[in-house]
Amino acid sequence: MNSFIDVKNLTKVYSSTGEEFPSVVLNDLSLQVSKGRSVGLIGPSGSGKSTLLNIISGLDDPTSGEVWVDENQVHQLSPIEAASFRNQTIGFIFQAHHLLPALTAHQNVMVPALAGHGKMSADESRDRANQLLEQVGLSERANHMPSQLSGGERQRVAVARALINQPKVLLADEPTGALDKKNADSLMDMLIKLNEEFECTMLVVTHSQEQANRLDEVWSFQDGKLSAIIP
Amino acid sequence: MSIWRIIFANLKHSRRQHLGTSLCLALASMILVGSLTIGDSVRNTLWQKAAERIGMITHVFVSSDGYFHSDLADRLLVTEDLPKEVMVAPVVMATGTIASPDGKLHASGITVLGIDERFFQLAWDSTMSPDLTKLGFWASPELARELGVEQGSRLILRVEEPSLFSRDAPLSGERDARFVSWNRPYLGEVNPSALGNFSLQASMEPARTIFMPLSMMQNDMFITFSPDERKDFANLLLVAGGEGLTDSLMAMMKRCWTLKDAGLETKKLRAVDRWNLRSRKVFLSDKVVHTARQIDPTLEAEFTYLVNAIGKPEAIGDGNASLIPYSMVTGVEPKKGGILEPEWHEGKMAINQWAAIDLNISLGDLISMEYFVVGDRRELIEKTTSFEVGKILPMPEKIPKGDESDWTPRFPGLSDADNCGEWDTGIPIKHKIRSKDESYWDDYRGTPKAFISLTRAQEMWGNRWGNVTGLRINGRERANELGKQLRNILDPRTFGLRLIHFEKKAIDAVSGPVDFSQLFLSFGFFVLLAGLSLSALIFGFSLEQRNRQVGMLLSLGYTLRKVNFITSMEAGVVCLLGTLMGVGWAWFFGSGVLWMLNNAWGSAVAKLTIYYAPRLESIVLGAGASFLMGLICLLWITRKQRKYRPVELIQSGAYNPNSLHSESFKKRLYRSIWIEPVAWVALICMILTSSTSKVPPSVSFFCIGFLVLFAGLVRVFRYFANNINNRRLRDRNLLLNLDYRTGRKITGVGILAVGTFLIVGAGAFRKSQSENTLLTRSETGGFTHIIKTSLPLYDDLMSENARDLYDLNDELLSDVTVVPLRTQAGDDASCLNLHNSSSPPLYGVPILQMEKRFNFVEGNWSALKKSDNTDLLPAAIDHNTMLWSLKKNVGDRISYLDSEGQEFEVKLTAVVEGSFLQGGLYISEKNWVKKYPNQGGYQEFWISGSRVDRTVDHLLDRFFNYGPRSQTVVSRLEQLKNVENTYLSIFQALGGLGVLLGTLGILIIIVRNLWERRHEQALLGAVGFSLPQLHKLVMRENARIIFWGLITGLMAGLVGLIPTILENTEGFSIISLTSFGGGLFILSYISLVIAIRMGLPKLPINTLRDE
Repeated sequence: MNSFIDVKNLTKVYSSTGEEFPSVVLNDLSLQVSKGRSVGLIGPSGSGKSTLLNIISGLDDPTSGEVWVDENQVHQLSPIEAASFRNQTIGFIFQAHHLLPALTAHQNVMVPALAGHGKMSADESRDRANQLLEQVGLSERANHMPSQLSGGERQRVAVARALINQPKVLLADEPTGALDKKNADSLMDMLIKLNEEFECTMLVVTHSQEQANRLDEVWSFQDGKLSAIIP
Repeated sequence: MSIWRIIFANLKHSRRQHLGTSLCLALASMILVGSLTIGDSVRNTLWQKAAERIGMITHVFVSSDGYFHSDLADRLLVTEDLPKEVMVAPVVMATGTIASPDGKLHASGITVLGIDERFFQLAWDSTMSPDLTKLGFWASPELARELGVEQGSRLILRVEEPSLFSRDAPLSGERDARFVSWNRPYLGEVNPSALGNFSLQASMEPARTIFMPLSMMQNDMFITFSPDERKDFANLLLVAGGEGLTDSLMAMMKRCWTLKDAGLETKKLRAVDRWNLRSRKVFLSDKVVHTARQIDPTLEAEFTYLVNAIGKPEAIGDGNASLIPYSMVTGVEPKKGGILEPEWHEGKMAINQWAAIDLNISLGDLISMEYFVVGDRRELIEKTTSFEVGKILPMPEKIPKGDESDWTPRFPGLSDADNCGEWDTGIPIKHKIRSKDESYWDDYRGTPKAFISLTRAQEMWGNRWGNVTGLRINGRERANELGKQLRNILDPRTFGLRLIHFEKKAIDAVSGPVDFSQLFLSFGFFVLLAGLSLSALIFGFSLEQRNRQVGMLLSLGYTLRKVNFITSMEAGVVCLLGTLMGVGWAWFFGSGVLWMLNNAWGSAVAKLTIYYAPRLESIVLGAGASFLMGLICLLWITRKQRKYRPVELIQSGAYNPNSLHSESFKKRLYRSIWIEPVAWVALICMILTSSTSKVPPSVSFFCIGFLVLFAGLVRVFRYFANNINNRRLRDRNLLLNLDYRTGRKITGVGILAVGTFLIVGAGAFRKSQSENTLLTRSETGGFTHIIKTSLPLYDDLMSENARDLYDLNDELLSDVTVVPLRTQAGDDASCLNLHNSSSPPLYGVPILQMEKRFNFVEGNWSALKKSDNTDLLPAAIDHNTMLWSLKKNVGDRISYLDSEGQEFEVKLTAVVEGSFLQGGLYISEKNWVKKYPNQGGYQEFWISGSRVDRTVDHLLDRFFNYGPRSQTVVSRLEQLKNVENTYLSIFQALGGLGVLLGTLGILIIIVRNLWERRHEQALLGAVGFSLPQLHKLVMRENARIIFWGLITGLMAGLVGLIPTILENTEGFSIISLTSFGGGLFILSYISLVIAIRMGLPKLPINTLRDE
């Protein structure tokens, strides 16, 4: 099977001054994900789930190992290529929504389209932002500031923002972590629906086994390595 | 744990921000304390100079109108009620020139003081006094340096021979000034502590004085005075120890003052029991005549005058006809038993038998009389008047050798002549003197050959010095009584003796000069403001960072008051630290500024060397004020935190954009809508008013400029605020408004705009040399040179007489105009003098020659002619002198004393626009001579015309003996402009420092913003923005601060200059303005690039992980 995401022997070590033993977060980890698959990553706090997503998206560098996404070796890309990769290939949903406080919900969704890597025109991106907000059920709240939205609404804006450039990979780092069960279920429904609709490969980090079980594959983190859990 | 522990922990935790705040406050404190100590130093230096100049002298009696006997000093000392500790020294003061015998060294315009040992007793250190038993010269330190001669070298000192009375007056003696010269060795320098720098005037120019023994000076100087009279004259009495005696000193002087001191005497005539009241100055003043006649109404006035010729009418004007040359004629009051009987017809003349025989005339014949009267500028006007012979008097009595006729006062150059050939009367001898005239002179001296009525005589020969030459008194008793009563009634002031409270004047002069504390405070105000703004900004940052802490404390039950206490204590400690650092820096600032003032900025302090002498009071005051200002500033910034509820503070952390969309913010935004048009309307009104009225350019610049700044900043505020609130911005500008902190942006724009505005202003008002220096309607008045002489010249240089007298080249003079000025000395009120001038020099100008010269802000030269009140004279003044040195307005008055000690006022009527006339007041020559009738001649000349350089060289050569000094008007203007330009340089330097601080402030704001918004940057990086893209984005976002700051400042400067440019485009350079703006833009741009590189060195994606 041809892997869309191929993580080979990935190791990430954090060493800080004064500490005798460095902390090994990812230890010779490998992972292959086929195109269009949705993958749940579960594990205890500090097990390296978010670190893996950050390394896959190019937000962080590995200590050793390789990461291939859509035939790009992520950490060999030049800064400009890396920026384009993050913009066009990856859609990232953070646990904290990271909405820009000075922009409306609609403007926040448009932000990735303004980086100038894609071919989408301004009108197209505006229409797409409207469409995405409608899809996440926030068309009525498009002109609200983040401070005027609830936690669930903010996270849904962040989802819409992640999808504006039609990314091939959607990385979600505990997207439901700060939400109550109802909102968490609703958001996960939406992610699964979007995954099916846009056929994008999706990696979701979550604490919730129940949420993870709704995805195609579930992997568990243990001592810096992954082990597959068949749902 | 006490609350102090929290405060201490907070201080420790935020030490970096607090140090930044303290450093900015230190800057403000440095400016404040430093400026005050600079003022202290200037005042202290001036006071030290003043103390050196005046020694222990408290009062000075000055005889501006002649001389008194120097034993007046002894008489004053023994006056009842005078305290024992009072010391008095008589001095002869004159102006002269000194040169080496070979002529290689030459110094003119020097003060010559004849002194004895009493002079040095008035010094701080009399042990440093020179040995006055030696005959020679000593010099003041400055003159010693200038001369650079060794002790023992011979020098020639020349002063004008004192005249009994004004050389402008008729019969005052030889027309050419006479000099007294001494060829003596130079004996050394008089130490400053021994009054080596003594001077009557508070001037920035160091005293250039020659000291010589009083007796040596007196013995040689007063040779024209009566040989019978003592020569111990003086014209200054210096008094030490007279504190508290100002009101009584003049009364004491009046008690010891004698008629002799006033030059008056009751002379015993040869006629039996007849006496005559006479003056050393020949003419008795109207005041003396009036007073004497009030005392004794029986006094008979007489007026004796020298006429050129008496003869038959047909003989006058015919050189070959028979006439009597040069005779005395006396006007007397007709009376029963007198020479002229009552009812004497004014058209009749009585002649003596000698004249009748000589002219072969008899009663009823017509006789003509030819005589000179003196016009303006000592012009001799010849007149002829005819009389009918009404009486022939018997032959006069012969006059014993060495004696004079009872009718004739002692005329200088005449009375002492052994024969007619020695006559030196000041009038040209045009008639041949016959041998019988010599015989008459030998036998009868100045006995009048004719008598006319007093009224007729006064009509013909009356002048401003007096209309009577003697008052006849019948009997010794009456003479004694008259003398006694005159002494009691007449005030020494009437004879020109003025009392100056010298010590007070010196204190006043140094107490109210240019206040350098104020000056540097205003120059450094922008730096101070920038320092305070930055400190508030940084303190605000540190508070914002601790929003959560404050919210937490409040939610834990701390009262708002307690939380405020914690914040205030922190602010207090930070302020204290900043203030203490600032006090330390103030020493460097003060010393640095003084070093600049003693070097590159020397023009601002007239090259005076100033020593740093801070006063403890100033340091305490400055430190207290800066501490308070800083504290108010920091406490003001904490008020923002108090607006939020605890939960908001906990939730928002350092990040609170909600306020921008709050209703109160929107209300502020809407309220600002009306501010802008109001400011613009006010601005247009201001421009129109400034263009049509005579508002000083600097005032209009600042008023208009600040209105534009205000309106501009409101506009910029609305621009930023609207952008943030505008949710329909086009996509390309969407990311430019991520920074919602309008206040910070406005602070940045404001600092930059104010700095730019001030520097534009300072640059635009820099004075350059006018290109049209030859225009009469300009700052030069069309004059090219100023010539000043140490000794006065009496004649109109353009007249034929003067050309003959001084051997002037007609051809050279034909191309120039020479305007002579009469000068009454005073304290220079130009910007070259740091002292406070209460009575500037008063010049008498010939109005006719000044018409159509200079530009006037108010009135013109003709306004000086109008004078209804003799004690209120209209004067012209330079605009800068009026505004800045004297701090007066049009219509204000300044008091002066005339030569009789009577107070009169001059009213500032005409105001000349910025010119070389700075420093003095100008009244019409006609009014001037009325007030100072006995001060003859001119000592300043303004030259205009073509080929002036050659003419000036010629005049300097011709007037060598008068000690001429020449200066071009252009260089005089440069001197004056240098002062103003130096002030502007200081202003620009400190303004530049302020702009640098402003730029630093913007840099801090940008770095801080980037740090605060690192999550935004990280997010943008995470969604695909590259680092260069983010740099570009931040650059675009912040370039607007620089753009609006520069544009607002430049626009404010330019619009502020509109009235000035409309009136006069000269000196305004759009190129320098553009280059300045360009330079500032580049500096700001570089700062921006540095700030962005510092604040965003790499994509801060890791911060997303911090979650």
